[in-house]
Amino acid sequence: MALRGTNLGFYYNKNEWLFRNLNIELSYGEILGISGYSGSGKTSLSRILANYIEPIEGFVEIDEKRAAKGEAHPIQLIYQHPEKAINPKWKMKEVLEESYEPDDAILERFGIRKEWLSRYPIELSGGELQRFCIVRALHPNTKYIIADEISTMLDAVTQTVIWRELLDICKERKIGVAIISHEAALISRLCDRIISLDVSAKKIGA
Amino acid sequence: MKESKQILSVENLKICFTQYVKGLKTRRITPIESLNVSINAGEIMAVIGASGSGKSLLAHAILGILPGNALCEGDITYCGQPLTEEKKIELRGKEISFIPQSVNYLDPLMRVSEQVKIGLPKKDADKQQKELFHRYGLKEKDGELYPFQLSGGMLRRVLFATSIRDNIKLVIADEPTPGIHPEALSTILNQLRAFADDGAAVMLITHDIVSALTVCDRVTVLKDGKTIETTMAENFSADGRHLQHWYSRALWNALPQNSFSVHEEVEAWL
Ligand SMILES: Nc1ncnc2c1ncn2[C@@H]1O[C@H](COP(=O)(O)OP(=O)(O)O)[C@@H](O)[C@H]1O
Ligand SMILES: Nc1ncnc2c1ncn2[C@@H]1O[C@H](COP(=O)(O)OP(=O)(O)O)[C@@H](O)[C@H]1O
Ligand SMILES: [Mg+2]
Ligand SMILES: [Mg+2]
Repeated sequence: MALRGTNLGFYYNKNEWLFRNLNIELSYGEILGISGYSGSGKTSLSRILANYIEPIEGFVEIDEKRAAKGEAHPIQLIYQHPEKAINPKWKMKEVLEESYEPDDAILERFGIRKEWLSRYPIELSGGELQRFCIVRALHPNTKYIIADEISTMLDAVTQTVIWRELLDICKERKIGVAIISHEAALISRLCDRIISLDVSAKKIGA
Repeated sequence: MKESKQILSVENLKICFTQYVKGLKTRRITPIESLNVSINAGEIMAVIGASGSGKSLLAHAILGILPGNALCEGDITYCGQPLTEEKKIELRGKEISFIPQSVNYLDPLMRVSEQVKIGLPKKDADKQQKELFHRYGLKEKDGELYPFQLSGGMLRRVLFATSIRDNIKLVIADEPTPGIHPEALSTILNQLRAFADDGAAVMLITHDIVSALTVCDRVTVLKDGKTIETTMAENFSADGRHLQHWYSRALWNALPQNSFSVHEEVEAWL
């Protein structure tokens, strides 16, 4: 069982390929690193894998089935900028419960204080918001998580603890995780395997 | 050589918020209890600390952009004078430059080149904007794009470009570097160093201690709304034994470049 991208190719402006002929596979319970320059297309690839946008070429399969756009699916994308991923008009409790009702144990693991639930997003720091986004992604049906530069707004101590908790849960539940980061030191600490979106891996067609 | 004139001093800063809970009941939260930090001309002060420790609020207090329900106490002095709310409005974007943490500060409906031109001298705003884009590795045609069309690292560089103005005396950079690749990162850090070498005071709020250490002079560490330590940059080295506070050592040792670990005693405190 795996999340698989085959022959993926993508651009925003015609024929200015960000990547082409890209093959990528993320198995159950695997922790895969995706590295690459800023602007190399990491976020675009995340959105393709998470089925938010369609590739120009190639296709994405979830557990051997073609992913169809718009369909409910077991892939969760956690964004680089939590402030952009959360409805500013909702209190944090609503933000969480839109996805599912997390129990106290999981809130505790990610250091989410009860009092934050009654606040609006603007009343929390970036790192606090990101913890909500992480918990929100751990829906009981989640099978794959795409984590796009999710810890850059965390201090080193919190970053260490949050990655440990997140990856422990993912290992318990056999969730496959793609960790996207340009930070080599971090990625090499966390991942079983690393692929790069820089030139070598991109194989831009002639 | 380095002057030692003090540009910014923040003493006993306290910030609290009043929130309406139910009906007319109110509740007070005091995220910042007593922050102290001072920065001299020619100096880069890195400000590090737990996420949620009050770094952005500190920046917003200095700039006068706290939300309406915030109450702020303590003394903020700028170039020897109290920094009043009127002064803040007068100086920000001119002598005091701000690079915000949130990309939501960019106008979603305005092309990014136009946003960089705001506040540049009219007659050569065009030329300067192009030059800034070039300096931070943005292509000329990227200027035509709207914020949602840029990658995270590119947005950061645009935000940074909006901070470059003449006659700046104080720079407040709130996590300016996440998501930025190594070359652009060093351009930004070198620019901060250049501001300082031209006589400005620079506050660099960051989690990327390793990069900050390549340019900063001193480091202030915050935890739970308090300043717990201000120390020379070189004390962040080896196993951190020259750092005074256990939390400063914990931050240092938790870096992926160091041991990427957190002691149990530390966790009990989180
Ligand atoms: N909606 C969009 N419209 C046009 N260009 C875009 C859009 N989103 C991203 N881009 C461009 O695509 C390139 C790759 O962006 P992105 O996938 O965010 O890279 P990364 O995450 O690796 O930094 C960048 O040059 C960016 O400007
Ligand atoms: N408008 C607000 N109302 C209530 N609490 C707030 C508000 N803004 C920030 N806070 C709280 O103040 C603390 C410090 O936030 P901030 O300065 O953003 O942290 P950081 O050090 O990560 O930048 C956080 O715990 C946050 O929840
Ligand atoms: Mg990105
Ligand atoms: Mg902040």
